[in-house]
Amino acid sequence: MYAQAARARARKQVDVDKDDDELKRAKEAYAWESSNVRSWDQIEEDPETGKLKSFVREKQIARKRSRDDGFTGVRRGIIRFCVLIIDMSEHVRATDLKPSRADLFCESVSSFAKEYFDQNPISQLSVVMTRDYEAIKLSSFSSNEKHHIEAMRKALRLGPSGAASLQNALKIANKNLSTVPPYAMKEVIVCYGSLSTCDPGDIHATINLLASSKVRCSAVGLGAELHILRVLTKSTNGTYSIAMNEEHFRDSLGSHVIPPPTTTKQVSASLIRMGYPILQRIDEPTLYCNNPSVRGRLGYNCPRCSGWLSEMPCECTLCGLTLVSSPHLARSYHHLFPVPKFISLETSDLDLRLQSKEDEAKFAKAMKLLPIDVLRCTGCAKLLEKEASLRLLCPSCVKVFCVDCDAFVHDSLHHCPGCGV
Amino acid sequence: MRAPRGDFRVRAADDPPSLLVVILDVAALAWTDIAGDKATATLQSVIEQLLVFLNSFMLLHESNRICVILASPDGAQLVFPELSEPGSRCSDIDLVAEDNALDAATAGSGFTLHAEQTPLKLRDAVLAGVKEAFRAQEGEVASAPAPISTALATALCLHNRAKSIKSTRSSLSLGQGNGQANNDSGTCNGRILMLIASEDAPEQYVPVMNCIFSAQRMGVPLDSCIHGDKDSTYLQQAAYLTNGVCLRPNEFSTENPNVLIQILQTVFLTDRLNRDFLAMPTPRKVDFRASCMKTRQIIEDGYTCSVCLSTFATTVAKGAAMCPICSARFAITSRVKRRPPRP
Repeated sequence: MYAQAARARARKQVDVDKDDDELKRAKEAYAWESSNVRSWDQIEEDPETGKLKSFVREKQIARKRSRDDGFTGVRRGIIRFCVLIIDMSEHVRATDLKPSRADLFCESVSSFAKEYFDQNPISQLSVVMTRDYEAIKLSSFSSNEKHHIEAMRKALRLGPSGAASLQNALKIANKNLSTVPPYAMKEVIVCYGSLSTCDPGDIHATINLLASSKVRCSAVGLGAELHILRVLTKSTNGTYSIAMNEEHFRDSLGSHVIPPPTTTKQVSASLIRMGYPILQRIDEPTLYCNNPSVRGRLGYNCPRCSGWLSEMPCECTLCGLTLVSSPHLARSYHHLFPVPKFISLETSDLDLRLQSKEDEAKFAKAMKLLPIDVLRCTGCAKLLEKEASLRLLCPSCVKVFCVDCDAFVHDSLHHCPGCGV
Repeated sequence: MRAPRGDFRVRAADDPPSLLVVILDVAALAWTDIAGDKATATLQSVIEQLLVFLNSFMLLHESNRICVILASPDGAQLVFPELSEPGSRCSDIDLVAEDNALDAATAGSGFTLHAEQTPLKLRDAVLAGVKEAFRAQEGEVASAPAPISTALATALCLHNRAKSIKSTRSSLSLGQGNGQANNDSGTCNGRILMLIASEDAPEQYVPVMNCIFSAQRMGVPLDSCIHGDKDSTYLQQAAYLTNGVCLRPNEFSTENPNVLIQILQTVFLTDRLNRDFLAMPTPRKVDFRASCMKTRQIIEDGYTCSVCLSTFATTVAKGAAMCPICSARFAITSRVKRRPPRP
């Protein structure tokens, strides 16, 4: 009896909640309208400096929070072999995205290639285009970004025509990826503009094949969601996003620059034999050099066969040893040794994070900093007033930083200027 | 270099002003290693020559700006422009004005020289900073080499601030014409000059490399002048990756420390844009070898873990079942020869 009544009450409660929610939503009209209502009311001007007071601080807090949301401590597929599939069918002639979908594809893929090799220097890329019911490989796997940008230019010269064939493109991608060593992350990224695919056979068989060979397929679509792309990305653990506008398309494609999380099942770990050559001036005549006239006759000397090579990273053309330089490897060390997230210098936050015993000295130091009105940023020496700006604390060296330095340290520098002594 | 015009005020439209951050190594141990008991005299001479160089840098453009950072074992300290510590002193100093002065100092606006920027102030600030740093090191028996990564990170933060000030200023088009402002926002015409006496420290490898990549992304050349007897691999790589110059002047010695001024003036005075027209010293070799993460020895060939990309010497890697750094279990794979991709 009681239980029934309680349940009824609970249901009523839920209904009430829902009503409230709906009411609120009706009041606010659309989500995109609610955020911009009377934003000038929130601004408050500081009488002394003339700067906007609370608004700046709120903005800083919001920025900090949005950056903190990313998760850390995941294993990532650092060595990546990625096939980009570009749709060049009649559909990408549409000019709903400026200047046209095809131009947008080419431009953003070129910038993607640059970013990709900046973040993943020993990974490789290949570009496949689909048009006229077939798929063409534009560039085979290589670490040279110019190669792929040239390939995209070629695609644009050929221009969009016919219908796209997803199955043909996936088949070519799979064939490309079959020679990839087992320790590498295999990936396919589809940039798709049409709303149909013209396939010679059963595409589900191809999708199963990709899933069984552990290829991670992701897609960025235009216009509307396609069921077949949803199935493809879901069965291969990829992501699928539909671009709302040009900016969103670039962002969605750009999100694939960061190496994706992996498991041991997907990518096996192993030790790879590599050479780390010295860049030297070539003084004496050499037996073999793959490009003798480069960079003021500076070359890399293969440690195994003493052949001269002009570019890194590559495979030695004589003995096949993988050659990299240590800066290439060091580029991804910031994933290994990340800078701890900075915490804001406020009483509530400090209590939460600095409570273990060895942190007592740090905690005391932080408490000393807490009542001071004006502090100076350790990085850029900017003045940080208590009310006007967010003050952040590095948890390992207990030094104060401003929001700009926090963003710079975590996004680009990957080394705290206060630590490391 | 451009030919001087009739008027001697070089206008901002001709050459963009640059921000130079100088990192001076003041580790007592390193200087003692180089100069023995003449350490103080040698450092004194280096500082005198550096000041001459800085003054001539200021003469190149009316909006050129300088920051000086001292790297000592205790960390990095910004000694010029002089800033008072807000927590320790009474608050009658006008901190906001001082902060704005730093903004002007770093961003190189077209304003006239501040009182803080006169050569005399620069000299006093640097000498006082060095004296203070040495006093701090006196108590310690065996002081460590200076951590250049900390100084480098601070310098890059300053550059980042200058860049952001510049971009906000150009978006508001404050102070300058519209076209000029747009030109400035794209290129951050700054550089970092390091005068280093300490040797490379292995534990500094990852931080220093991170700083180098950041500088590369920002387009800040890292120049370095090494006073020790050994080449620095880190600084060589820094110069190579960021289009800077790394030099270890052979002529420099304790008996004859005055040759430094010539090197500073001829090599490091020109900015990035003018270096294309000059024959800059090119490296004889750049050491890109990795170091084994387990034994710390330098290796030319070895093994790399596919998960965390740590490098190991052949002796460590033989028969390892899991990665010593990231403890990923290695799969036992048969040696399948990779087919080379058909052209």
